[in-house]
Amino acid sequence: MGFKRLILMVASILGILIISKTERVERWLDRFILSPSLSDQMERTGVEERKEYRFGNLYALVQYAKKTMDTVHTKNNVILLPPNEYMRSIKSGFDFPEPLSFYYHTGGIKAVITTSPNVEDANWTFIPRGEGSVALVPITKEELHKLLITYKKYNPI
Amino acid sequence: MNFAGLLFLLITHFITGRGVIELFKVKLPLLVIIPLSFIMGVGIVSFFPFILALLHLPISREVLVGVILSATVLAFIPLFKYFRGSTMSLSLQSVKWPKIYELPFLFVFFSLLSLSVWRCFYYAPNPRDMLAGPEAIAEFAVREKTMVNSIFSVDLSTTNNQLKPLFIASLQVIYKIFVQPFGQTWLSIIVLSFITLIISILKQKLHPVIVGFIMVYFFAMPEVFGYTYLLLFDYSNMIYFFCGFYFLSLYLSDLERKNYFLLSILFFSIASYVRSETPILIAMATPLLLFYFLKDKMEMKKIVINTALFLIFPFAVYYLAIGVYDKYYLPQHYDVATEINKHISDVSIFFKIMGDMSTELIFSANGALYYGYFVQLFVLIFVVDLIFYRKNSSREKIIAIYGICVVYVGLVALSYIFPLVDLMHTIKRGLFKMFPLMLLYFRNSGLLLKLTDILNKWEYGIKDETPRPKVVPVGNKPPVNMNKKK
Repeated sequence: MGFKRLILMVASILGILIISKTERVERWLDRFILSPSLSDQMERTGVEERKEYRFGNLYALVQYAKKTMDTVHTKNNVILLPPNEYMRSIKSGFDFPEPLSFYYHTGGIKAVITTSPNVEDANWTFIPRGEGSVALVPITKEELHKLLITYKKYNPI
Repeated sequence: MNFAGLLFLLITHFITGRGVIELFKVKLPLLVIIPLSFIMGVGIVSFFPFILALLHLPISREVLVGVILSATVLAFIPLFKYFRGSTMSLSLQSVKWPKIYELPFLFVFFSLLSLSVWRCFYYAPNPRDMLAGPEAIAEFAVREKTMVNSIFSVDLSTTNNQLKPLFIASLQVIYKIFVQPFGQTWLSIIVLSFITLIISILKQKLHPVIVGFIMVYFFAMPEVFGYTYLLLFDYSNMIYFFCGFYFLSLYLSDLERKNYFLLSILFFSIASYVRSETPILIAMATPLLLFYFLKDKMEMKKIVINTALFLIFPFAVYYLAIGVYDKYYLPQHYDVATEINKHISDVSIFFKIMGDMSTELIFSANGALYYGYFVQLFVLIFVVDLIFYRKNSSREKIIAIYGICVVYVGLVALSYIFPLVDLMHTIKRGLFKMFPLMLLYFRNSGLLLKLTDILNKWEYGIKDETPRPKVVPVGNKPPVNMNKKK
């Protein structure tokens, strides 16, 4: 019986190897199991490091927004998030989340999109500053209305 | 990572779940009972922050410790008898060490599950449905000690995820407070439990090598495996829905086991708490129930009561989570009626969705990326069974097939009624519920049972006239006599 079980074990190993070499399984292993590298992750295990690893550009954007807002002493700050379609059209390299996600990421900074019912509350916005860079700047009502006209032709989110 | 907090939750989940399982007098092997206890424990605990929200009580660490401990102590009462009796030692004897040929499979499963657990711990919750919904609610509930928190003051016009039942938000609150800022590790607990459960169930009837190969294909479904560590509703929903169907099949195979029927209702109710469209799928299982009730000549009064019980509890949970909570507790309301298909009289839409589901989702290049070879494996075995093993149709097998049809047709019907239920998101992941039912089918497949028989004969050197090893009994059923000629 022991020898038969050994044969079954060899058959199991061979079977697993064959399955792992089939097209779909091999692709899955390469794309989703063997990468991303585990050793990279092991080197960055702190909460903020893991957030940075997971969210990439968005993390940098959120940190920047938090820092900027920390220095502002006015109340009721609301940020207008430019449409992603617009951001992509100018190759800014940034995608904005929807207002609730933005609130979550920033730990409580309110934002609106161009079609939000309370878009008139917006007094800050992100302005693209060339490829891969944005600035968070305060805006007046007039500037807000001008921006809304510019963004009108883009999908709001 | 707070290991003490994790240990506290693991112990309390297990005792709570084990106590509830014991209340239903479940007599199954230990390797079925243990994972079921964790799955049940997590399910029960997920109601606590929700109930606190309903009672307008603060959701703080102290209150949660009190509630979780109280539930654990209460659940321990039915366990007294169990620990004092001899059933514990009997159960332990039923656990068998894996044989040498199972080790390669165990190595593969262990490696994949370790990776899944690591990613579940490491990755911050990322899916859009979570960040604009339960995860955001949970994050601010921890800070503000209430589920109805400041996120409702934000522009919510782009999402309706904040209105979904609080299953994930509740567990996230608990795990953020007790374990780590990303919460999420509860998902690994139910995933590991579910995999243990499913392997144990399959091994009751099939040869371990066959079980090993089937499970390799199950693991190698990229979309399904991904959600073992990505936070979303569907994997959890699949687990509770499957447990409901599993106990329903045990009950319908022997209508004397009313306790299993009640337990299936409890699992279905938890599944309805995870995803609010589940009651519709449960309702679609009612004809199956009625068929067996009538076939086994059940009294009409009992038929009415059982059917009512089967429907009322999952719908009650749905009503509490959506009808009561959303309507009376949240500042923002959602009228599901507004989402109903405006062209409901056009039945061709139904068949179009059904066609798209097969051609664009399951049997397509995309399907390969989502579900690997698993559906093809099922179709192959099903067709072979249909041609060569038609006579081998256990009740459990029919129930599994019916369940698969319920998920398949049910999702199409849902998409037809509510166009919001789209193909590439809701249906793609809703189909997860079908896969464990396919596994339930596999353990009753004529082909796989025949292969098991051949392997057992060869492995144990048994000839036809000598008795063969007995299969571990399922529930209260007598051991299956494999020597019996079909």
